[in-house]
This record gives sequence, C-alpha cells and structure tokens, in this order.
Amino acid sequence: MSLLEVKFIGDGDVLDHIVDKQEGVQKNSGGVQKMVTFKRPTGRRATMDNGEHDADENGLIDEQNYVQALGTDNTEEDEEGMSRVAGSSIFTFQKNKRGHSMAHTASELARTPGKTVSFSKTPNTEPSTPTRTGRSQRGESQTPQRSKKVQFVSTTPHRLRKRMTAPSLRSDSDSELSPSDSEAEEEDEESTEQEHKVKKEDKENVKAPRTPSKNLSAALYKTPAKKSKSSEPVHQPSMVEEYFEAHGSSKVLTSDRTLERLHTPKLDRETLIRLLEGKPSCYSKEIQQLHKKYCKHFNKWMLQLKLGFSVLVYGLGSKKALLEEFRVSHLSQEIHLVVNGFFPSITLKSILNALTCEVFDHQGSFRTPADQIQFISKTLKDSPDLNVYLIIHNIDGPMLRGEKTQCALGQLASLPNLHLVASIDHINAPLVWDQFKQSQFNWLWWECVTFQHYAEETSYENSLLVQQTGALALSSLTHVLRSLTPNARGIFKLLVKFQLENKDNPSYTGLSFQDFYQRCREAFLVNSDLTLRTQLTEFRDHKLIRTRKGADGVEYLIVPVEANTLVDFLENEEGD
Amino acid sequence: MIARLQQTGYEEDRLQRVAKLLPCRELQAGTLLSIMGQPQQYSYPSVFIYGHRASGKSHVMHILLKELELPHATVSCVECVSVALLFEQVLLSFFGCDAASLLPRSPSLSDFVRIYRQQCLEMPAKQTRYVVMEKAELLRDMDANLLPAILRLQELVEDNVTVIFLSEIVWDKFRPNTGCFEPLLLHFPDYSKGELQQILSQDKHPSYSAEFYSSYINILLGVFYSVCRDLRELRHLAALNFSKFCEPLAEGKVKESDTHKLWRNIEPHLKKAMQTVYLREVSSLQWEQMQQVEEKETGPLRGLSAHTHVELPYYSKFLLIAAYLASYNPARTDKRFFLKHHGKIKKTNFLKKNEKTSNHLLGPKPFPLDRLLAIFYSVVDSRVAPTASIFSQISSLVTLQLLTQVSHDDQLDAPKYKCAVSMDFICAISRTVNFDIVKYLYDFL
Repeated sequence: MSLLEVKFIGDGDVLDHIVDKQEGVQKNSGGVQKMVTFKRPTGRRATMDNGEHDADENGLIDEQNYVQALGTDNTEEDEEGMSRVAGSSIFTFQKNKRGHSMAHTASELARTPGKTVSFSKTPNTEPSTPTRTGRSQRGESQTPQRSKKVQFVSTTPHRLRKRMTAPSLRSDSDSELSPSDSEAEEEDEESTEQEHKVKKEDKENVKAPRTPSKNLSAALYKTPAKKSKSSEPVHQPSMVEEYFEAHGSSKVLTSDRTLERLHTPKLDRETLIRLLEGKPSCYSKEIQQLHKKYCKHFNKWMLQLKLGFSVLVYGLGSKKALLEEFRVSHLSQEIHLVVNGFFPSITLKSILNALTCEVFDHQGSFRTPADQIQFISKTLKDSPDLNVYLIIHNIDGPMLRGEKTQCALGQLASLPNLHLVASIDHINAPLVWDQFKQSQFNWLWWECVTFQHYAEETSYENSLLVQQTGALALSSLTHVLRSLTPNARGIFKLLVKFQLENKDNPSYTGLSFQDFYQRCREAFLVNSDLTLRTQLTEFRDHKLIRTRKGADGVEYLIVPVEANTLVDFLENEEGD
Repeated sequence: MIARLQQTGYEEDRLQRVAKLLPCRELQAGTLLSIMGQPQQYSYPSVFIYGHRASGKSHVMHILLKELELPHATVSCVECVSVALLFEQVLLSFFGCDAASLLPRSPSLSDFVRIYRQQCLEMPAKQTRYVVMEKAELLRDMDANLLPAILRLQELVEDNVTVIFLSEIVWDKFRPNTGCFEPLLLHFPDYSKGELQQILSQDKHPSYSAEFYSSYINILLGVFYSVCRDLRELRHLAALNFSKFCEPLAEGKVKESDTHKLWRNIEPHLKKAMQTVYLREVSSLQWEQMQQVEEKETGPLRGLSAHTHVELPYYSKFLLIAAYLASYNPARTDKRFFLKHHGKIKKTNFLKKNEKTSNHLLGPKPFPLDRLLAIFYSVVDSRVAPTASIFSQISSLVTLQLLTQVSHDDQLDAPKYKCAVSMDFICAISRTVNFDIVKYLYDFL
C-alpha cells in the first residue's frame, strides 16, 4: 500500500505542476480537485511516520473519490485508473504545448543553465531522507521522492511514444538511443518544467522539505549536451533501429540452461492436458461477448460469399469455434466441406478427393490434381444451381502453404459457385499469395480477435516440453528432415524407398545395416560406416527410425511411419 | 579429292554427286563410307560422331544416306520426349505404319525389340539399315537401360542394323556406370577460315560475278571470324548484308573491281550488325527494313535489351531497393547505413576478409525476410503499415522473377530471398523515387 501511495503522489505532484503551468481552461476543475485530494496525503506523510496504515487507507479512499469525481469509470483497479488519468492529462498537455514548442525552445534553452544552477544548490537542504527510505518497505524503489517524480515526467512522453510503436519494449532509463525528435520535445518540456519547478521550489521548501537527488541534477545537466547533438527532429520508427541494433553483432548468445536441468524434462500429453484443465480464462465473459459480436457478421458473410468474394478471418485467438458457429447457423442446409488445415497429414489430394467423392459422388480416380480440378470446375459449371461451401480452418497450415496447393485452392475459389471461408494464423501468412493468387481468391479480410485458446490447432504440434506419442505425422516428418543436411535426407529417403518397395511383403523385417551401408556408399552418401552410424543415431534421436535385432543377430532398420504417409512424403520431397 | 570417296557396291556417278554436295568433308565422308562398307555387308553396330555445332554432322549423314538410297530412320532425340515416340519413329520408317501400330500404349524396350524381330522375319534386310540419332546427348536423360540397348541393337534384334549417334558432346560423358558396348568414335573437326570461305562462296548471287561475291565473303569473314565460326550464323549474316554491299554498285558509284571502296562502305555497317543483329537485339526483318529505309540510321532503333524499364507500384520499388541493399551489403554494415547514431565504424577494420572484395562481383547474397522489412522501413520516408498488400507485393516480386526465393523449405517461417536485378535496373528504379542508392551501397563508399 505504501508503495502505491508513493507513486500516486508522484503523479499528483506532476499534475500539479502541469495544471499550474498551463493555466488552461480544459483541465481546471480536475486539477483543482486533485490538488485538494493529493495535498492531504503528502502533507500527512511529511508529518506522520511510517506504519500508519489508517492514513494510507484514507488516502486510498480519497483517491477513489477523486477518480469517481473525475467521471472515469473505476471498474479497474485504483492504480490503473489513476495512472491512466495522469498519463492522459500529461499527454494532452504535451499536445497543447506542441504548437509553439519550437519557438519556445530556443528562449527556454538560453535560460536553462541558470535554472540548473539554482537546482544544484538545493541538495544542501535535505532533512528527511531517513524517514522516507524507511517507509518504502516493499523495496521497489529506494529512490527519493523528488527524483522519481522528475524522472517520471521527463520520460513519459518518450515512453508513451515507444509504447505506441513497440508495445513490448519499455525502457525506464532516459537512454541515449531515444530518437532525436523525442529528445527535442523532452528538452522543451523539461525546460518548462524546470522553470515551473523553480517557482514551486521555495513554496515546497517551506511546506515540506524534499530531497532533490543527484539523479535529478544529473538528468538536467545532461540535457543541453544532448540538444546540441540533434539538430533537427526527424521521424524515424524506432523498431527498425532496434532491429539493426539487435542484429548488429554476429555474436550469438546461448544459455546453458537446458531442459535436462528440469526435474521433469518432458511431460506427456495427458499430464499437460490435466495441468491446463481447470484454468478457465478470467475473461471468459468478455470472450463470449466478443464471440457474439462476431456472430452478427454472419449474414454479411453469406451475402459476400454469394457475391463472389471469399471470406478470410484473421486475428488473435482460435477462429475455429467462430467458423464452426457459422457453419452450424448458416450452412447446415447447404453442401459444405470442412478442411482442417492444421491437421498435419492433410494433402491437396485429400481435399480434392473429398470434393469429388463425397460432394459429387464420383467414383474413379484421377491421374493428376489438375485433372481433378478440371473435373470439379466442369461439374460446377454444368450445374449452376449447385452451391458448394468450403470452410478451411488455417489455410496457412504447414501442409497447405505450398505453392501448388495454394494454386489449386485459388483455382477452386475462383469458381463462381464454390464459396470459400478460411482463417489464417501465421504472422507472415499474406506471403503465401501473390497478386495473381489474390485475384483468384478475391478475399475479404475480416478481423476477428477471439482470444480463444488454440486447443485443437496446437494439439498436433510437437513441443520440446511434451513427449511425443505415436507415429510421426507427415508435417513433423518433413519438419525434422528439413533441418538435416541433404546427404542425411538422401540416406533417409533411401531407407524409405526400400521400405516402400517391400511394403507388401509381410515377412519384411527391415534393411540390415550392412546392406544399407552398401547402398549408401553406392549413392555417394557416406564415406565410412562410422558416418552412417552417427547419422543413424541422429535419426533415432528424432524417432525417425527404429532398430531391431534380428534372429541372426543382425541389426535391422525400420521407419516406424505408415506407408501412406511415406508415399505422401516422397511425393512432397520430389515436388520440391 | 573425289578419289577418296570410293567404295565398291555403289554407283560411280552417285558417289560423285555426293562428293560435290559435301565440300570440305570428303575425308569424313570417305571414312564413313568405308565404315559402312558395301550395302549388303554388316557394318559396325554403333558409330558415334561428335564435333562442334555446324560442322556438318547431320548434313553429311543425310546426304550420304539419301543420295545412296540406303534404308534409314532419322530420329531427333529432342522430339522424343518419351521412348514410345522413339520406337514408333524407327519402326515407322523401316516397316511402315502397320508395324508402328503394333506398339502397345506405353511400350517397353522389350516390346520394341519383339516387334522389330517379328517384322524382321517378314522383310529381312537386304541392305544395312541405319538409325541416325540426332542430339544424342538427350538419350542420357531417358531410361538408364535405353542407351546401352541401342548401342548393341544389332545384337538384340539380330538384323543388319547400324545406329549412328550425332552429338556435340564427347563420348566420355555418355558412358554409363555399368559400362556398355563401346561405339566407334568419329570426330568432325571445325572448318578453317579457308574452308568457310570456300563453302560460303558457293551460294553466290546470280546477277553478280563469283569473284565479287567471294570478295564480299572475304570482308565479312574479316569482321566476324574472330567472334563467330558458326557456318549457319555466318551464312545468315552474309545473306542479310549483301544488299547493302551491292548498293554503291547499283547506284553506279563504283565498279565491281573497286574492292577498297566497297570495303569502306560496308565495314562500319558490318560492325553495327555485330552489335545488333548478331546478338538478336534487332530481328532480321527489322534489319532488312532498316536497310531499305536509307535515311533512317540503325542506331535510334532500340533493341530488346534497352527495354529494361519496368513500371512497378511505389512500395514495390522500395521493396526491390531494400532487397538490393540487403543482397549486396554485408549484414554487419546495416548499422552504419540505417542507424543514426551508429558510433564509429571504420570500413576496413570490422569486416571479414571476403567481405572486403567487391560484393557486386560475387553476386547477390541471400537475406531473411525480417532484414528486408527492416531496411524497407528505414528507406521509406513515410510510415508504412505491414499490411497484407506489402507481403503479397513481396511474393509478387518473386513471381515476376525480380526476387528469387532461396531454400524452398519454409515459405512462411523464415523465408530467404535474393535480389535478381542488375545495378542499372535498380539505379533506374531508385531514380524514379528520388532515392540515392549508391550512397547506401557498401561497395561504392
């Protein structure tokens, strides 16, 4: 609580300064009221000692009253509401100031050194530091009141701006890296601040002597030097600079904290689900509201689908429930096909087969996907009343993002009576479509931030923290193999081909190591059996192969993946 | 000369006609004839003829087989995208359509051999049959068993058949891993300058004397011989430029014997032809039209390569510029170009040795997507949101082959690209958006 209070007073004082300085009409009432409510705790604290919790409670209530009086909704916690008010008022102040800031800066600058001199005198009078440090028991900041206040003010605009561009990054220190424009404005602000502060100084010294610190003076001394460095304010996005800063050196830092250091290095799937269960989201009501809000768009979607557009849903959170709701409410009477793009073993062939076999009741096989698409488009053209809806969860899924697959889907989407609803999740998903494909798809982008868990979508992903169960899926197979060298891939492909040749042979026990070594040597993939053994160990680590001792004591190698998956895998590899 | 072309079993006047049709190739034709032997004799199973482009391989074979009326099948391996076409063509020319229709839908080698032997029983060879395989280097890309089988076709079908391979590639590149029946190798050397002169002078213009045309060929060879020894190319150039050569004659300014004046007239014209029509910048038709329209000079017409200007959207231009910078600048210099306060970085100290050599000589280097975007945001003056349109413009640049995607494995997670445009192109693009790209290129500091 005490900690909370320290912060509030800081904000309050800052607000005082601003309101005094500004003498505007907009913030008058708020400012006055605030001064009343905030002066009281500060005064009390200056006189009273620590440990007086009643006083703190009082202060809190006062603040709440204040927030209510201001008219902001106080559903949030006090602190948040408070800091937000402070932040916003500071921000508006800064905006007002900006108009004539440049004109001011020069004249203010000229006077700045004088003011700092008067500041640097003040450290002589610092009476009550011991009590202050004793008060802050949470130990968040031992810095004296005054310095904190000044720092906060000077950094706020910078921080705000940073938060807008880079939400993840917040640097409390007034760094040298800050863009030049913010420096200039800070400068301006600080100078006005100082001017104002000097006025306040004697008043406060009389009322409650504060402790200006070295930090403050240092910060103030720094400013003129900084100013001289930057001549003109240039708008430059700081994210870019941060990228180059981060990638500037080629040094790679790795941590030696590995998963093995943990007590239970790997959970199995059941444990994970059990752990995740019983943790309902604390915003489930709001999420439901969002979901209902998006459901209102369904009629629009239907209209747009009819008009020849394809609906693409993007945003944070799983969109599966939303699309499922859409399907149930609007498409239950129509012919529709749901494709789970996140499913790791999905292929273009399976989608097309589902369309031809299930939707059109066509028996027989096609030689190539192109033939199949031609058949689909011909069938749909012949019967214009037939409307087929295609719902693709995760059209950017690992197996669907290939060039050929997207081409085929684009051809399907461009058919007038085949309608497509899809969702994307990958951050680079728009890279999949070039101009031509976009014109085929004719997307309408709908932002639907659902905040729902990717429960089903991520269930197939192999995480480091979770033990794998069962056979490898096609996507994880390709994923693992792509990180290997071409030679290793060749070795594995050799084994896969041999296994596929023998898949109809029930007595096939695997390829013996010697035989495998001979084949690899002939293909110029390994130069000694030691290399092959190391390679095989790697495969074994990734669970790509399994070895078995035969009756004659010879090792036999087997790929523990289904034959169909292996066929798909070989097709994919050759397609690349 | 004609004495070399002697082989019993053939009529004398035919051999003379052949000799006339094969200038400067009497020696090779004579060798071939002696290999072939008399019509009814068994010849060597396979002959491999190699030599440079336009050294008369196909021509000699064609003339010999046609003039001496020997049964033959000429197969161009470029046309035969599948073995079925190859087999069909051979059967068609030896036994007629009935035999060719016997082939199943996707015939194997054994089908071919079986049908060949069937047909062979009905109409056995009275003379040696010849199968000529043009562009035989493409046989290597077909089934592995095809080339060894064709090499010993005589043995397989038990017929008097000889296969002749024509190729520009030496035999060593053909030999299969498991070995094969070695064919007889025959080399066709290049034509010398004198031989070229002799052959080219043969097709003289009817309205001018032979000496006049020969002197024209002499001038033409003097200009073009250093860059081109291809007979077909030279013949094409000679035909194109002859009307220009004759112009002063038609106007009556000079006489036929005044070679020096004629040379002075044609020489700059031929030089210009080397830069334009020889490189196919200007089509032959355009060139002829230009010669007819006298006042129009040949320079102003822009060739194909001058049309390198491509209209692109605004952000695509900047994306391409950023890609070029990312491809040709080392990643370690990014701080220096795109950070305001990068501190002091000296050019020599912080670079690795191989980076000090010109990056433009080594070619473009791959870069990841995030580096492209970071440079893009720092070169574009305004703030750009990373919308779907920006991303699809990147993909579109890949489709337009202005960028190339390296390492095809992950399209979304961390795609890598290379810039595939030239310095001139990017300079023209950056001029249109008022961006000084040379200032940002590490090589030109």
